[in-house]
Amino acid sequence: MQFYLTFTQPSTNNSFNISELTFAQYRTLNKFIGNKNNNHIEEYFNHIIRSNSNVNSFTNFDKFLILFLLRLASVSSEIEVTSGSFTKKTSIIPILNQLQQINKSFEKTFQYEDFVLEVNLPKKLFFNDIYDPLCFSIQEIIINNKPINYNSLTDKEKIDIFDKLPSSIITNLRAYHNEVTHVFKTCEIKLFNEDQAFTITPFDNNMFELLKVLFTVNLKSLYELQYILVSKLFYTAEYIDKNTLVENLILKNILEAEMNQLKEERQKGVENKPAGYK
Amino acid sequence: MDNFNNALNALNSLSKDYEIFVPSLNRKLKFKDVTTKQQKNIVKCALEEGTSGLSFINLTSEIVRDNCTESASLLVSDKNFILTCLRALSISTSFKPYDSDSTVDLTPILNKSTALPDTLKTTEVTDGTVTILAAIPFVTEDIAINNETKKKLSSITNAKDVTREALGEMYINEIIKYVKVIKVGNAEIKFNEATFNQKTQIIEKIPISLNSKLIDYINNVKQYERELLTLPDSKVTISVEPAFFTV
Repeated sequence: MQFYLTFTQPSTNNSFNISELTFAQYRTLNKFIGNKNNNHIEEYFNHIIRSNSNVNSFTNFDKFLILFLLRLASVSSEIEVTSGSFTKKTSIIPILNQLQQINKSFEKTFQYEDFVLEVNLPKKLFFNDIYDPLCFSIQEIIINNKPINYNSLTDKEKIDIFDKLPSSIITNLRAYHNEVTHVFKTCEIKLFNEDQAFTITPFDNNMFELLKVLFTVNLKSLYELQYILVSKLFYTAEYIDKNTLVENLILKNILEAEMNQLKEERQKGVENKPAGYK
Repeated sequence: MDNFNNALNALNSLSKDYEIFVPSLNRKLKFKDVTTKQQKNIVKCALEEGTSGLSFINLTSEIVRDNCTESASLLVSDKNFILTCLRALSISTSFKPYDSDSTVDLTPILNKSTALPDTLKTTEVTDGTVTILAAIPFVTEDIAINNETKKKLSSITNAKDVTREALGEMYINEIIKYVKVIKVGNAEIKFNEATFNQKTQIIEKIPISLNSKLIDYINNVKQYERELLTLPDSKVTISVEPAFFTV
């Protein structure tokens, strides 16, 4: 059995088991981030959530919280932030606690003369277009009492369907976004200091950009770590890949401590040599 | 895919028709709802627009052309009135002009039924030697000439020249849209039979006095369009620009 974390969905209070983020997933994610293709990065974030939770219906805010939790548990509870020439390590735990206070359900239904729109926070983490948040807030369209199964469509199909809807829906969707945004804006994130606060909303790319910052690391350092563990401790690559970054760093730290101890003992040995010996 | 096609078919049943008065025809025609796609394109067009504004002009002309469900030849002078009515019916009758703190109600414009006067439909201007028969262009002609203008403007690579060239081209092309026939003595040039380049060359050669008369005629048509879009009580004139389609 694999170790797992528990994620409690704020809007429903339902709990889900989430496997920790493996070293292999972290390394692959960093390759995607390094490659700067936002659609691919989003795809890989989704892949992590799907394969680590077996759930496919999370909203983007749920996904954000899950990834935040994985970052905290499997990578580090701190983030290094830089402002000008000043660098500071800050804990991300208060941010997660603060965001989990947003525990409202944002599901809403709009009734029109001949159709019904069911809306909620979008499932997408990254938006290519200014109209994407409106399009992907729609969860279901019911025409003449028949749902069209909107969520089973591809993103491209959803956009095609959205494009054919009467433009009057945009007014209501915008009002819905303003309502939700108002709730999210009450939660200010202070990463660096008290004066520099920013907010995230489910309708812009701020969440996505913050996730990228949280998961970005120098890829070379991951390969160096892998090299040390394979060449000095003789772990297999498969074993290292299945561990989390934190676990691998612990192994590396043990090795370093052992080597330092050996160095110290050797040093002492030289100092304690009897006179006449070089 | 079946699910997608079923969804598309179901959506077709949602399409609503509105009856809108068309001034040049002096009767009502049926128009489809503005779709989210069309509204999206208008906003995107505003964000991407360059010097000329032609993309927005053509996009809105295409909406008027494509959303009319009856076979009819619409004039450019009908366009902004129809668009205002479509906006009021599809999006909202309430509108807040950018230079005002309060909203206006578009219903009085929806209720207008002022026919285009015959005196404005066509005109003849002459300087004794050259006679020009002019008329308000059809929406489809307007789109075609704007596309030609866009093509010409896109070939200008020197950034400094773009604004100057754009204004020059648009001035000439606005006149081309209105000219139908030019008579010089017994010779007659029918503009619908000439190529775009031939039209440009001819217009560039017509005497300045005739040019001024043509401009006066075009201005009268524009003035009539503005009156159609003026709210009777507040005297606010609706300006059809990208912001008009966002709420």
